[in-house]
Amino acid sequence: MNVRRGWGIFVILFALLLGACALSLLAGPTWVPLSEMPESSIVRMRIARILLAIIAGAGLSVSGVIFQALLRNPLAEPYVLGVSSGAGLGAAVAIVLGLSSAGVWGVPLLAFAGALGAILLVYTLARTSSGAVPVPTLLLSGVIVGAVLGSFLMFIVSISESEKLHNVMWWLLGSLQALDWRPLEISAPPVAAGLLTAILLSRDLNLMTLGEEPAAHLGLNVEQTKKLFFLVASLMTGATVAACGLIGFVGLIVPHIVRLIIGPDHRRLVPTSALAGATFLVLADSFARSVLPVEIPIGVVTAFLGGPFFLFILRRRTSPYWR
Amino acid sequence: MNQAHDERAKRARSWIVAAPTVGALVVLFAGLCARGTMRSFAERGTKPAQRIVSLAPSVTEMLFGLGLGDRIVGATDHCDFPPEAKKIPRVGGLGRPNVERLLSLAPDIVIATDLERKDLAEALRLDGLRVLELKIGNFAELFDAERKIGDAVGEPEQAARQVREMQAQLDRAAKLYAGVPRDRLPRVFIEVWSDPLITAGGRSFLDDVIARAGGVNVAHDLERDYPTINPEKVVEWNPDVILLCYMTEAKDAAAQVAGRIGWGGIKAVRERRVIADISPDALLRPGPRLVAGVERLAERLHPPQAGEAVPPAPGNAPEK
Repeated sequence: MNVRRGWGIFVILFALLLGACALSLLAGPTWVPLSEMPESSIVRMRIARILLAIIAGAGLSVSGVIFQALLRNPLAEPYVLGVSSGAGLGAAVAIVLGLSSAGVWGVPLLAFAGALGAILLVYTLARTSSGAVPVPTLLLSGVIVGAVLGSFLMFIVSISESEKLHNVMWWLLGSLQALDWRPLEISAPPVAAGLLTAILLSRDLNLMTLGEEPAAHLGLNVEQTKKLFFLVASLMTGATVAACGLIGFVGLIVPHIVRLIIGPDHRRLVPTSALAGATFLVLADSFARSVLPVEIPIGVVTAFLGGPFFLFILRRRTSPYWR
Repeated sequence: MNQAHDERAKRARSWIVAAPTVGALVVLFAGLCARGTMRSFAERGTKPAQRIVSLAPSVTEMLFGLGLGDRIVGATDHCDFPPEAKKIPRVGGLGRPNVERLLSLAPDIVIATDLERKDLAEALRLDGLRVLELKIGNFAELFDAERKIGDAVGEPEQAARQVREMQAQLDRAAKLYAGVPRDRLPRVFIEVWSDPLITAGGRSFLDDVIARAGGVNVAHDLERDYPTINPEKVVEWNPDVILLCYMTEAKDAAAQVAGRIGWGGIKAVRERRVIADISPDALLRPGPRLVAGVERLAERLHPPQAGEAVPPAPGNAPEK
């Protein structure tokens, strides 16, 4: 595939992202006249939200791309694979143990550990003795592990006397509300690091999609690559979940749309997915906070769009764009 | 072979339909029979209740206020005031009791405010219990609840006196802002939770609490009880006072509010009128202590001007 041909798409996506940000600056329950924009504190709040949406959208989309490449499966994404539930459980445990007040990094660290534990568990469970990872087994393991971890989460919530978790339903559906800079501080570095790793090592992701054996024959250290990317994708998911709760389907929809447009080459897929994911979440959040006087959870908006799309992907799973 | 298989499958399917249907009919019939016999229990006399189960902390406080603490045989996990209330056997959470534990206490009346399941009251009545369901959404309803409890437990005069005392304390609070014209009353933003940002709308008790304390709830026009709102609404409202009303103690909450993105320009933050030190129980629990909460809040919303004499407020219980 000709990589140079790909520059156009970056320009287009970047313009789209800027357009979405501009739209999002105007969207909200209150109207700010253009002349007052520069020093309006409402606009400052919207900027924080937009930045968080960009980080979360890029992080979730790129971890979706990574999971789809590693597991050679078009349906892989953090939410479906139980990784988000693992991160959610980790974060809830951290909140109940009171780590949220102990230090800024308590919640994200446990969310990250939960995410990593979940994907390792799912992968191990789905792997047959011959080393293959069949699609149905993987998805089933993901769904079941997700459900079991979800039940642990609800168990903690139900026995917890702490009112800290009374907002857990809201949190399970995700929210990009940024009252201060903390959610940005905890999510930006891991997502940036993950994105950089994925861009630098995108050739390895290309090799991984060929299958583990062919990749090994082509000189790739498969085990090491796999471990590194599981770590990176879990880190990005964990950081996003710790900052804005569980936001589903972004990691599924975005990479697929992008793959349909520009093809499966990860050298372009990774950065374009990051841009497209950021744009999608900025738009979804503008919608979530402007249609009603009260806020709609962002996860409701993404699942509303993602659910039907998931079915669409399921129906045409064998189509040639997936290699 | 295929045909035999089909035949078997069809038979199996008809059983799958028939068995639950018959089972459901049997249960329904048994239920209807039982209902008839239970009804007769329900029509027992209405003599003053001796064994009371309280399904809300506010009800427990009202009963103690009437001097009937020793008649409460069961209370919720949240009934922690007065301290003696902690020794009462627990029947579960607010409005969601463990029915078996409740029945094992053999109460003759159950007093509840917000039952999670609306059919629970009916089910308990079928079991022969008196169930008093109260709706306490503002002060008028609170006084009404106090009187109803008084009637149910045979202490109507005592209840009437309690209501008079609460009314008197509200009147005392009202004196603090008697001369202030309505458009000069401080506009208050109530923060019930920060993540997500939840306030108290026009249908909440807190809305009435603010009004009685001489303030105007900025979210009064939101026709809900506890709506989730976008923080930029608060900037737009630009309240004179921010009242933090978290259900748990929040450390450094006032400083945290001041440090939020874009909140620095809000009048309440600029003038340091973020109230975080009134105990949430005094503002959120719709019981007899609420009037003390109103009076404390009124003092904060209407601080005495310089040179004015401050009469000490009688009967104002110190915060715990």
